[in-house]
Amino acid sequence: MSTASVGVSPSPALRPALRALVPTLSRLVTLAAVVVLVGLLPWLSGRDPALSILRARAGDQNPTAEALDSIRAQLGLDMGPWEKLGHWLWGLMHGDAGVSWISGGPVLPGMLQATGVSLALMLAAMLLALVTTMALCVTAVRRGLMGEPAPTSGALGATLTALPEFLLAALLLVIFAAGLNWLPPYGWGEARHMILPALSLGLPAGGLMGRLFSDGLTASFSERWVATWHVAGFGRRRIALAVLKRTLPSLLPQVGLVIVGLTGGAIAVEQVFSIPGLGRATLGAASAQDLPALQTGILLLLAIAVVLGGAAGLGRTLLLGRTLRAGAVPVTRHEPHHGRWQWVVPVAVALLLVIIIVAGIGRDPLASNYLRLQPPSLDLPLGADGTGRDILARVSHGALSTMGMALLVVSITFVLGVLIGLMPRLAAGPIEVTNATPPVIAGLLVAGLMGPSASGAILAVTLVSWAPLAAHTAALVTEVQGQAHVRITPMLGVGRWRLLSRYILPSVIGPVFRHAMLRLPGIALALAALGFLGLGPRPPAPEWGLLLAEGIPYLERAPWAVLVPALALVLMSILAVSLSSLWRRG
Amino acid sequence: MPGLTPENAEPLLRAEGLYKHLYQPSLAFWRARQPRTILRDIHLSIQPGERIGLAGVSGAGKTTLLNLLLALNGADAGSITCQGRPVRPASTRALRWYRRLVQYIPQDPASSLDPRMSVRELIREPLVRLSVEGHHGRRIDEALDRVGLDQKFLGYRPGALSGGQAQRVAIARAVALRPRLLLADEPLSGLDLPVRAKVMQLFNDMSRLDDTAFLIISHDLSVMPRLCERTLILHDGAIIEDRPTAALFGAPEHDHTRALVRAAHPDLAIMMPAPAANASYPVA
Ligand SMILES: Nc1ncnc2c1ncn2[C@@H]1O[C@H](COP(=O)(O)OP(=O)(O)O)[C@@H](O)[C@H]1O
Ligand SMILES: [Mg+2]
Repeated sequence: MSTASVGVSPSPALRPALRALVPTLSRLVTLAAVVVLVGLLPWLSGRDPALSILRARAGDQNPTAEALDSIRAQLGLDMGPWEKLGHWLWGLMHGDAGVSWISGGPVLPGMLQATGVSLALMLAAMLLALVTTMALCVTAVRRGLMGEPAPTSGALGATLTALPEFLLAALLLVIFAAGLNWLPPYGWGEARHMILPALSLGLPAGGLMGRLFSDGLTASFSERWVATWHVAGFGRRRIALAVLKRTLPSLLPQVGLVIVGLTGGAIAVEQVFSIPGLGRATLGAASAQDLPALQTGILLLLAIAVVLGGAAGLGRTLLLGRTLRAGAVPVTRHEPHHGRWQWVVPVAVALLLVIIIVAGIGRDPLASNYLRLQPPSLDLPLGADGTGRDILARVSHGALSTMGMALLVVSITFVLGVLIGLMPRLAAGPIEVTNATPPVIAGLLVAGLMGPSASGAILAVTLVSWAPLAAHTAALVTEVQGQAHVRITPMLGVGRWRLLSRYILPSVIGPVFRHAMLRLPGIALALAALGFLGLGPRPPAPEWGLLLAEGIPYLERAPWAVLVPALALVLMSILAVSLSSLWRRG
Repeated sequence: MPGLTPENAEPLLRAEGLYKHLYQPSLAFWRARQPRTILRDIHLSIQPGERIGLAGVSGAGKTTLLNLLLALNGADAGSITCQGRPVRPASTRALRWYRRLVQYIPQDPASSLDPRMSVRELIREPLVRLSVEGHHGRRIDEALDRVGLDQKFLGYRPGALSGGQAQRVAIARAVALRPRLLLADEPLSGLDLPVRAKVMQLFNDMSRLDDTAFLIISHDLSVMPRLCERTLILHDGAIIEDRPTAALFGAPEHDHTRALVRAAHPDLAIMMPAPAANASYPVA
């Protein structure tokens, strides 16, 4: 009944009612901070759009000092940062998000229209992801109901998860639109326009959720009470429902994240299929340095994400709230499973990657020594790209840089996530808001501030990637605190630090580490996506996202230019995921 | 209500006028939350070495009262003192003295043992955390001896113990501190009959040999005659009886007590005289 709190929690003297308010306050403060950051973006970036606006409005007018000044005054650019922020907020409250620095027209109406388009696309993708998830869970549920739950290999799920939206989008575009001519390559407004984008967006999300759910369901099916229910002769349907109810609460935060991630994925998909959605509009605003449009786009994307994330949180509270108060959440025991075959996949994949890296590391990734799009030959095993550079060399060097960057991000985010997740109340706001920020949006913000670069991409991805791990940690901490052997610790004189290090962390570190490893491909792909969208390392750096982007125009003529980096990304994802299931033995 | 022992002796633990309300979240958040009184005007004193039973049906408020006595939760009114010192929820460090004097045996021993720790680590944990002086190894051996567990179990983990063995480890963990008072929440429910008898014997021995006081909570009155010299009946958050066990079984004052006694000893209850009418207490 006692609710021992860990980490930085308000003093015991604080009234319970007040303590309950801390998460809400944290949320409000964080949201306010983000809104202020977005509001200050024009001032922080230090750019002066007066000249470009003048050009856009009247190309023939001389850029005299008076003309520029009058534009600055009109846009409020001569104001100080806080005055400008107040002005902007005041306008927002009255339905005025400012005027475009490009066209000079009001920003909001177009952005709202684009939001409708994006929401429709995301809804279609969610339905598709749901179907995919259920399909991937069939095996886990069947085995569980037969009374022999065993972890499924999840290779299909891993592969689906590994496919970046932009790659899937481009592949589908070329196969079904350009090649087979079944579906329109771009456009919007009819149902058939929605099929390919929804597939590109929904399949990776469904793959991730399918893996999470089949893992979670298998763990729940392995619990003792399920065997008891079997013996007691409960129906399969009833057991399946109970297992689902047991599994859902701990997965809901992650499901929320996957859904929120759709907002980010939508940007790349909208870009590839030329869909007039919010993501494409915002990306366009970023590349055109149309900061009022960028501000509005980011705010709208964040609003969508916050609402989706809030819905998932509410669901978890409704499902788990009563159980937690009663302290009746049963302990999930992960039974270690052994099998020699488990080593086969990661070893084979790692070997392939090592072969690629070793084969190409001595070759020059930057020099154009070959013919444009020269096909693969003995001398040039993986062909040449659009400017005659050796693809083998570029993929090999890119592997090192992309994997290195991703590992760096994963390590930092793992530590950050666990540390921040230990203070669930205080961290509630930052977790929700950064969760609600897909890497691409963070990339847009960082690129808007510092210009695109490799370190900017690392910063952007790190900034938002700790949150899922912190949310997972927080959820696990809450669960562990409900367990009897933790609730008795006050009687044993166990202090706060010991409670953390000896009782709570050991139950938390394992699953969170596995989760972090599961996210390695996702993070590598987030970095690649930033590169693909031009928000990461600059050409001619041999970065996988850039490689893909550079290859896509030649997909029909030189498929190797896209397939090689794509295959490399898929390989690395399978490696990371299979390694993390091996690690679970510990 | 006065205890059995002379009024001038300073009790080990004394509770005066405890109240506990529960603020249930109303289903509609705009409505005021209605407080529900779970404990009302609880007076209680425990003398050194005394064995007290606290009985009542499920939901009577036994666990709630226990959590107040353990300083895990705060009372809404009233006070608790231990050897004259006030007891209320505070930091782990500030309550060390109290935890050394008053220990707890949980309701579900198996799940209250950390599955990652060995029996030795489990018993040593409170010794270290509560800064108990002296040789810990010897205390652990003694405690195991006291609960009748073989030394070989020291290396075991809770997963490898039976229910009865886990209960003994939980008791040994409390006993190793040589507390003056043990609070046990339903220590016998969930144990099969032979184990139950052994654990009861264990409680009796400990009380006799170490002069440890006990407060044993149970919804089942049948354990009281064998374990407790005094029995309290908690009904709907109030103590309705506080008398020597024999007297209570002989002549329950309340219908409710009578029902409890009848449930525990069907043969006994048939011969019992009608209860003395007590107008002050509304009988359900
Ligand atoms: N955390 C809680 N939330 C809601 N009701 C509670 C909670 N704890 C106790 N109660 C209520 O308080 C009353 C007393 O509970 P408890 O002390 O556990 O009874 P006992 O241990 O005698 O069975 C019960 O009616 C129970 O419903
Ligand atoms: Mg109880």
